[in-house]
Amino acid sequence: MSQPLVFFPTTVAEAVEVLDRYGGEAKVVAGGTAVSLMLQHRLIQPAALVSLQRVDGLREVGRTEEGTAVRLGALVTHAEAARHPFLRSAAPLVADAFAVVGNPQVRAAATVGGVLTEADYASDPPAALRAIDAVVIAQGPAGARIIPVYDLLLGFYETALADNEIVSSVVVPLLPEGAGSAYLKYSSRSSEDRPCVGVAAVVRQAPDGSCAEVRVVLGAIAAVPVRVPELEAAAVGRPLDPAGLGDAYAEAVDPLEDVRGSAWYRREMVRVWVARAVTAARHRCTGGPQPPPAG
Amino acid sequence: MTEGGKITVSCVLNGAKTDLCGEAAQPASEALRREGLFGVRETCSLGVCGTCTVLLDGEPVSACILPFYALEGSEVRTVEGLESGGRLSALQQQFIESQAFQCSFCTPGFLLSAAALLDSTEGALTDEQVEEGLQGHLCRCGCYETVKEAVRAVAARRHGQDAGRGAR
Repeated sequence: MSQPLVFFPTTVAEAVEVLDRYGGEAKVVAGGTAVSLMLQHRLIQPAALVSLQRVDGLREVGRTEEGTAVRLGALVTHAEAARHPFLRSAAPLVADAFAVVGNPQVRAAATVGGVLTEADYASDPPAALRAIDAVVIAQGPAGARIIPVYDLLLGFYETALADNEIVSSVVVPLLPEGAGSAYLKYSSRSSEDRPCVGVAAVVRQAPDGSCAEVRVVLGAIAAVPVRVPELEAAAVGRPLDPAGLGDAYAEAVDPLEDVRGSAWYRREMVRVWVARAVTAARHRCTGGPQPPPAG
Repeated sequence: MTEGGKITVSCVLNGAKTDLCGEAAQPASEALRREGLFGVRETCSLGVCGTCTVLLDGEPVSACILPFYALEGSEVRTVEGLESGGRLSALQQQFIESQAFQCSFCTPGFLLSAAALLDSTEGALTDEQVEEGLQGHLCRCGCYETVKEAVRAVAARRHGQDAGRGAR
């Protein structure tokens, strides 16, 4: 096997220039967990590897200038995202999702930009990032563009990035005031496995206790994270009913089957885990309605 | 950039400045084993089992899915670097005393993650903390209980020492 050339650009522009030159024959390496695995198992044979490890400015976590979102540099690791105090308070479901990927060794290396651009259907963070309407900043020869996570993920290992584009950061909006959120992962084989079903939920309650907003995104059951806007709209204005939502999503989805579960099994797990995720999100609502007085 | 896929990286390996030469597509585990560090054991090649764990700037990572060139500029520790001056560390000694292994194939990985856990915490540790810290390690002999016991014993001992110092 011929060995790929490795480039160590020090700026994003340099990295883009190399990618542009190789026109699809180069792979970007961030934490390296996904690319190394694919190389070792001969699933890819790129002519060049473009390592981002010497590019400055891709490791920061902080509030955006307008203060309405958290910006995660593409090279921020899962472990750093999971334990970052601001992200944990501003978007708990996102921190939740990064905290349950793989095992500690993987989380210490795998990056925020890497997991999105790998676009593996059975990853935890994409569902959470989709639920909170995160966007990525993609840099190419013509400059930067903003791509919502929804538009970035196109299919199995397929993204909307051009061959000469790099994700430089992921921008996570703050949760709406009073909203609660959670990401729950169900693994059918072992704790460090990829999810059989992952559920991201955001819940906001009206002063009268009814549902003001609910968002549910299902991971690992299809090529890309699944969101069902009609079910979200139908739940608004009614008492929040986690079990009812579980049933509704189980009926609405068309799950794939793989080694982690059959389509039937996944549907039943959607039923259970949607209800649990919505319940967990509701528990985290702040400033919501008080329970009715006793008696 | 590199010539013909061969890369040389400089790192501090078990305390000594070292230049490693390897191929681009090679994982760090292979490069380290070529240095004679056979405590880096590759089993699943998927980043699941934990036997290839090394400490990269103090954090446990799976060397089987770490690009070799990611070692550049970092401090790398393998199980061979846990002892000093021919003496086993307190943690290694406690693994022997607690009989925290049977075949011992997984032991280097457990030791490194346990060392990182002890370094990043203070005082005594609960079962849950140890389980969380060692989550990324499989032991097919099933020595989990004695591993936990060994790590907690080392943590409890340092806790006792801290408490002793506090009292004085």
